[in-house]
Parts: sequence; C-alpha cells; structure tokens
Amino acid sequence: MIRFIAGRLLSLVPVVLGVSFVAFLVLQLSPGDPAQLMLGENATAEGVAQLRREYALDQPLPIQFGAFLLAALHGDFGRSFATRTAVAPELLRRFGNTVELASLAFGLALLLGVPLGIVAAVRRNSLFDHAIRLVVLVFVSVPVFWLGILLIYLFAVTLRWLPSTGHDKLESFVLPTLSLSAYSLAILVRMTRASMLEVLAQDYLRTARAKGLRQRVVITRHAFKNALIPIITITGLQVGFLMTGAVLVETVFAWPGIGRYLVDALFGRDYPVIRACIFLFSVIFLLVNLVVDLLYAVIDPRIRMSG
Amino acid sequence: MRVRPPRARGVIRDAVERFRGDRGALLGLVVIVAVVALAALAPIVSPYDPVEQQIRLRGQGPSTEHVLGLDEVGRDELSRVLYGARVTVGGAVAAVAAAGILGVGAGLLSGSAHRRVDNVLMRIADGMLAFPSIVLAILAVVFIGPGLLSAIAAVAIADVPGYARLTRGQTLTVREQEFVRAAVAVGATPVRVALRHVLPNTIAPIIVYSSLQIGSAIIRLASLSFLGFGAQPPEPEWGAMLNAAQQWLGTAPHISIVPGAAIVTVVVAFNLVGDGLRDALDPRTRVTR
Repeated sequence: MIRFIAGRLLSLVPVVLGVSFVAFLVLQLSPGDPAQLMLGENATAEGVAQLRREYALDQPLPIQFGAFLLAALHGDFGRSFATRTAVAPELLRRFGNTVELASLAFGLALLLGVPLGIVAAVRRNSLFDHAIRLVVLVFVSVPVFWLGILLIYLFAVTLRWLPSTGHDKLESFVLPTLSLSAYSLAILVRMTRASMLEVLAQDYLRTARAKGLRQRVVITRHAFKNALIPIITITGLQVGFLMTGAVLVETVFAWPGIGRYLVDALFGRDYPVIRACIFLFSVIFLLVNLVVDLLYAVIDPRIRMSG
Repeated sequence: MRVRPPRARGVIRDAVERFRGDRGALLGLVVIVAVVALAALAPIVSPYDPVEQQIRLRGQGPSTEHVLGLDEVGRDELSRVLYGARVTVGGAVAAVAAAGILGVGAGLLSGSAHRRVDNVLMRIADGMLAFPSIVLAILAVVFIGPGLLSAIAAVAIADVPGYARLTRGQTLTVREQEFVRAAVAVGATPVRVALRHVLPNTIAPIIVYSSLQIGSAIIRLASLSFLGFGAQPPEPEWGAMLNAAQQWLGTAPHISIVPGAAIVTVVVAFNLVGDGLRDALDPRTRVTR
C-alpha cells in the first residue's frame, strides 16, 4: 500500500510542475513591470528593485519559474496589483470561506443523495422512483446561478425569510448552500441508483437473500458496499464542478470566497491573484483526484494489486 | 479489392424502434426541433427588434403587446430570448462540434497510429484533464480576452480530451474485430481502415456523448456569459441577459425568470434525447435504468 501511495505521489510531480508553469506564465502577460505594478506609482526605485530581486524578476525565465515555485511552496504569491498587499493571506482567508460553502453543499448532497438513490433503486419503477428521476433530470439541467437567483427571488425578495447576501449569520448560509448542492445531489442520486441497480442484479445478492438475511442487511452490507466505487468516482469528479459552482454561487450571493476573488481579479487584470487562484485550484484538483485514487485501492484491493 | 464494412441496418432499425418507444426522448426531440426552428426563423417570428429600446416601457411585465414583457432598457424580452437561442444554443453546438472534430480525430489517430503517437496524444489529454474546467475557462479569458468566441473556445477545449479518450477506447476495441482485420489483410490503407471501417463503428457512443455534452455546454456557455466573460451586451445571450437582469430582481423579476427557463427547457430536452439515444443505441444500459 505504501508503495502504491508513493508511486501515485511520484507520478504527480511532473503534472504539478506543468500546471504550475501554466500558472506562472499568466504573470508574464502583465502590461509593464510586475514589481512596479505590485508596489504602485509612489514606490521608490529601491523598493521596486528589491522586490524584483526577491521574485527574481530580473533573471531569465527558467530561474524566474524556479523562484515562483520556491515562493509558492512557502505560501508567497506576490502582491496584488489592485490592493498592493500580499496575495497569500487574503487567498487563504477567502479559500476558507469557499471550503466552508463547498463542504456544506457537498455534505448535504451526500447526506440526501446516497439514501435517496438507494431507495429509488430498491423500489425501482415505483412512483417514488419516477418522482426522483424527474427531480434529478431537472436538477442536472438547471444552471447553478439561475437556481440561486430563483431562490433569492422566492425566499429573500418575495417571502423575506432569508437574506440574499452576507456571510455572518447562520441564515445567510442556507440559500448559497442549497444552490451549490443541487447539481451534486442529482448526480449522486443518479449514480447511486444506477450503481445499486447493477449490484442488485448480481447472483450473490440472490444468495444473500436466499440464506434468509433481512432486506436491510442485504441492502446496506452486501449491495451498498459493492456499489461504492462509482459513487466515489463521482465524488472525485464533483470537485471540478464545485469549483466552477462556487465561482458562480459566490457571484450571485456576494459570498466573500475565492471564486469572487478570482472573478474580481479577472476583471481588474490582477495577474498575481489570477495566478495564485489558478495554482490553488489546479493543485487541489490534483490532490483530490489522488485521494480518490487511493480510496479505490482501500475499498477494492484488486486495484492495489494491478496498479 | 475493397472490403465493405458490415451493413448495420438491422441495428439501426432496432435503435429507431427503441427510441420511438421512449416518450421522454421523443418529447425532448420535439422541443429541440422547435427551438432550432424558432432560432433559425428568429428574424421572421420575433415580434420586435431584439436590440431596439423603448426606454419608457423598461422593466414592464408581460402584456398583450409584449408577451414576455420588456427588459431593463425596454427591449422586447420574447424577441431577445428567440435571438438568444441562436447565440446560446448555436454557440454550444459549435463548441461541442469543434471539440468533437478535434477529439474524435485525435482519438482515432491515437488508437490507429503508432504507439509513440498514441503516447504523446494521450499524455496531452492527461495534461488537459489535470486542469479543472474553471481553470481552462480562466486561461481562455486571460489569453484570448472576454467575449463569446473565447467562451466557446473554453467550453470546446474542456471537452476535447473526453472525446479523444472515448474514441481511442472505441477504436482499440473495433480494431480487433474480424472485419477490420480482414480489411487490413486485403491491403486497405491505414487511413481507409480508420475512416471507412473503424470510424463508422465507433460513432454510436460518440453521438450519445455529444447529445449529453450539448446540454452541459449550454449551461457552461451561459455561465461564462453570466459572469461577464462570454457574450457582451447588447448581444442577446441567455446567460448575459440573466446577468443584466439581476439588479432588477425586485422590480422586474420576469427578466430574471424567462432566460433561465429557456436554458432549463433546452437542456432538459437535450438530456432526454441523450438518455434516449443511449438506451436505444446501447441496449445493455437499459438494465440499469
């Protein structure tokens, strides 16, 4: 198992380097001297020269890239062109807010989606199953941002039950979380249902029933465990969606997360911030996919052997 | 001597039969045909000019003259949604078509050509898959600049590796089948084998994948425009319309509802057809439905 993990980690190194290089290139688009832009009009010549040395901006590209990697490893992403302050602390603060939102949303999706998918599979073609399938179809077809707008219209503008913005009170979490979780919920229900149906058709399930096990034990212990792999795959794939979704939901609800930070940076051509966001998104994406790979191996020992 | 690929009429007839029995898929197909017709005929069927402003009537709700009301600067909402179908649905279809042509080409080459070519192409695909799709979109915005074309490019680029992998997998399977070996044995050129024998037999899953991708592409394209990185005003694009409508949610909610409802309707239709095609073309998946 340790060999397996080490192998996967090692194979990640060139990918992380490649992804970092693309992120690194973004700053090269800066119109003018990045050091000057980071410090502003009123910066002294010495200050600019020092910053330039610090980030090796006066060196050839490969060395600049090395300096960028080294700085990134230390959690240093330079200064924002817009605020002239260090990117990293702001990035971290906002990242926390996004993780909060995304984990709430995905947690809710898991909590509801997996049981609903199981019940739909067990009661296949029942009224419940048809209703669930209709809801899934609608939820996968609704743009996240429009769902957010609808929820604001219904619960904030018309009923005045919940706030449409803010991040301080518990109530302000409700609408963003619901908007972001709908798509993941639908995908999880669909995947769990399909995966359960496949497993339920297997011979060993008939055997389990035939030897007199109770339905609940058959479903939870024998069927669900074997239906887990596709569910975990989907969980891994959802990370990419959650990132895009967070950017949209944060825009609709003025949520102070990394998504809004990125959108504002894109409009303001704040390249150090854009670069840091690309780096962070990509590295997290790779790490989550690594964890998913490792989870496969934990659940299904056959993968460990062949991998 | 030329070897003809096996005629697949029986398979196709079976598939059509199954598709016709799927009420959801048929409904989806009807909606898509209607939307495409309305989009194509937008200049004829639209009651008003989509960019002409009647500023005095701005934000007015539905009435007999303006069935879906007027938008934030007094443009006829129905006309804008009809023209918007051209931009949003047309753009999404263009993105998927571009991704399909590039991806299928690369996948076919990867599965047919030398091992080394295969390796290079698949590493490129892996590299593209290493980026979350939002990052690909950001890169398009950063390097090309905001606009409808860069949004379409961002949507297309994200889909290329999926097509390439799918086609490569199909190609590797089909290549092992006897009729392909027979074609190779009688001296068909590699290009002919790939295009005439392998490609037609990989097409079914590609069609299914495409119909499901179009729905997702519509959402992704509208999302980018909603953020302000896609179609720019005054272009009638559904996502961009929703962006402009947002601050009028309290006073003119209809302009926040109509374009979104249009998106959901079309995406549901494409998803229904995609699911129907999948069941029709690959009867094995029916078991798990």
